[in-house]
Amino acid sequence: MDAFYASVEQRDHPEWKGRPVIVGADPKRGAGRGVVAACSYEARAFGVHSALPIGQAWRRCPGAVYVRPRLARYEQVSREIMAVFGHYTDRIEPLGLDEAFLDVTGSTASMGPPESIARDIQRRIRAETGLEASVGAACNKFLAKVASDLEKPAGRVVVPPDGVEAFLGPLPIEKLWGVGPRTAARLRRLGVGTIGELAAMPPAALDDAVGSAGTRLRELARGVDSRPVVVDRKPRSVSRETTFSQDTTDRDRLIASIRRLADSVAARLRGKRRRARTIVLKLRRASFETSTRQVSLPEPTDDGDAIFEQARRLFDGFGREAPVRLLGVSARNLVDTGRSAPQLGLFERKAPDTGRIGSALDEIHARFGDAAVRRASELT
Amino acid sequence: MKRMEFTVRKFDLLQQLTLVQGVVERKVTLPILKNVLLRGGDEHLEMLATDLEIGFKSTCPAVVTHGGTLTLPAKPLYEIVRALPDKDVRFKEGERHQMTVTCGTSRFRIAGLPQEDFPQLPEPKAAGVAIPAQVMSQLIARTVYAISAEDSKYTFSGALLVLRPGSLIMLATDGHRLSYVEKSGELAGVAEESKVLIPKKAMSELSRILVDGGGEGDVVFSRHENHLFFDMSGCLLVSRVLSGQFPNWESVLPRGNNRRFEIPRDAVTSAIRRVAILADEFSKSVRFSLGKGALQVSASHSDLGDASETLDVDYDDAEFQIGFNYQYLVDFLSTIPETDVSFEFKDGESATELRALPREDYNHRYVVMPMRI
Repeated sequence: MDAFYASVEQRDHPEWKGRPVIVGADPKRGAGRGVVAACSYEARAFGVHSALPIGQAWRRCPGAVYVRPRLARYEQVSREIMAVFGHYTDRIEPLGLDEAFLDVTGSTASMGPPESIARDIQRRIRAETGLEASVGAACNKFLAKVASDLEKPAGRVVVPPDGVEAFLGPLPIEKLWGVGPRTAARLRRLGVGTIGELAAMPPAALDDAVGSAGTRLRELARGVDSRPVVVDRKPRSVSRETTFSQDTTDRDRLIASIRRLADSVAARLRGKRRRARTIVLKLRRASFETSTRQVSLPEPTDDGDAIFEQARRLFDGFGREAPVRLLGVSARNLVDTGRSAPQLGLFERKAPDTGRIGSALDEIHARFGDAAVRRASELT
Repeated sequence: MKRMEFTVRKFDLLQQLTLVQGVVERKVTLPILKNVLLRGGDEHLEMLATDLEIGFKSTCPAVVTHGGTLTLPAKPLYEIVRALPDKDVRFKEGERHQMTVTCGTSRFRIAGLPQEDFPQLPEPKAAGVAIPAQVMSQLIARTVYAISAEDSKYTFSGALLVLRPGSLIMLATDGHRLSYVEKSGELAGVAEESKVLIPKKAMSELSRILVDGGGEGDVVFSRHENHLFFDMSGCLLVSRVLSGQFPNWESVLPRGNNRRFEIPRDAVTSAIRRVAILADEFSKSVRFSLGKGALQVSASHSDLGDASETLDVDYDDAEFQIGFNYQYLVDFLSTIPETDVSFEFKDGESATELRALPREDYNHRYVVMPMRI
């Protein structure tokens, strides 16, 4: 999907169409401390990109619409998109919320060549969600991914099996997985700037330049990638963290933020139909010294209160003195919700059915935004 | 000084050493706890083992030439005796706490440790209450599986024994289910109610000893300070008292569970076991769907498929569904000797009670919390 979070925001707020939209931390007129999660193409024209510190984004593009991410909403739209994919194949490997590999090998007989399946998927996503998608079609995951990125937004690039060399040859070496800025710089010093030039390098020279990664890079440069589409890649953990605008020792404030993180992790778990057996609290001091503590639960949970309770106890296990810069809550050891019917206890006081509260909240948040329903404890 | 020397029958010795093995811990901090203490007395051999939580003393007939005391490593001794032919076994203490064991043409020399380091086993002081071994054995068998494996907020790893004038009650819970069994009948020496917590290991060792003894005779139970004593003719099990408060079990015994049916135990047990083959291996959940005249037991597994079985039951109330960890049901159903069982429900989220029927010698109530399905 193209500029996914930002596109969803523009679709939900038509008045923002055509304007730079930046999804991320609160910029606080340039004093904010988080980062950009996503931005619209209009914002990219100002040099804003994802992972840019929000303060810099503000300086580059003060006139943009700044919004906080609404993950529950994006997850809902993501499910709609994944449902569209399901019409074409059941061999789907999602990569995050807005991207997936589809193996359509078995679908071409009934649905036509890859080219027309690609066009169909784009049309259908546009019709059903109002969003633009870019598609790449090729004989393996690496080529398909490179192709899909090539003509964003709303791009569609098909690489025929006999056109791999012609397709890859002129592309810059950064398109290869595993070539970051440092490797690229080293190769460029050797006069190698394109994938075609890399493929033509003597193997020994490449190995000298990049070490053990040489074999893999040479294969990729020739368009060879034998990894299959892995259906049902389930998340291994769900985590949320927050960086404070100022380092703090204020316990109430820290606890309140653990509460928000726990609720957010719980919502994410429910969205993925998973429950966690292990809860981890991460704490970074002003000195950047980072430590984690974790606890395992007798029963897996996707309940915000239960996660908060554990995270708060973990928090109490840390010393109080040093100011905190960042807190994170994550859920690990996940099991499918359907496989973890909760065992009720004999002696616990009868708890409300928090599962139903959770899913009701998830729906409200998805439809009306994260601020629609909040905990009373957050209203300060 | 004369050193210890005695002769025992292999069979007699093996029987006692087998019981001793359960008490000796494999991993111990004090090396001497891996040993069993042998004491040659008057026409008998005494054996002692302890893990500091529980201790066990047993005796077997022996021809004692010279009395004495020595400790020997329990496991090797047991393995040696087990492998010997069924003949007389002769023990003769040698230099430096070594014991020579001969039987037929076999000869072993085992390195022992002096008795001085071996912990003392307390002796019963008070007069005890004689509980028929058969009864004690039943009380344990009907509750021991429900003892929680670890201590938590509501549970600890032991069972509660309640002695009342006119009845004897044993209870165990792991916080998800509770097993309650009551045997009525007067016991000599019980004038008022008393309660005691028995650790899980003492329960299972006691059960082994009682089964081994064939359920004959009485268990004389007494308490002195922090120790519990179970005296069974010829052997004595000593246990530390478990400290803690047993949860308020009276409040969780259901009242007003009006939806009920009775069913032959074997029929419902085998239906649950069959269906459970396709239950999720992690949650172990099976579903009971009750309708007029019928109970459907079903299970489903996300990868394997699903299973169901319908049984005729005399049920005439509203339809409803409830989920259970099948292991909890099978634990109860497979250990009661009674032929029938009743299920009593309130709704799909409240405690369900199973009772063993007919209710003759024992009043056995089993309370299980459902799984939310």
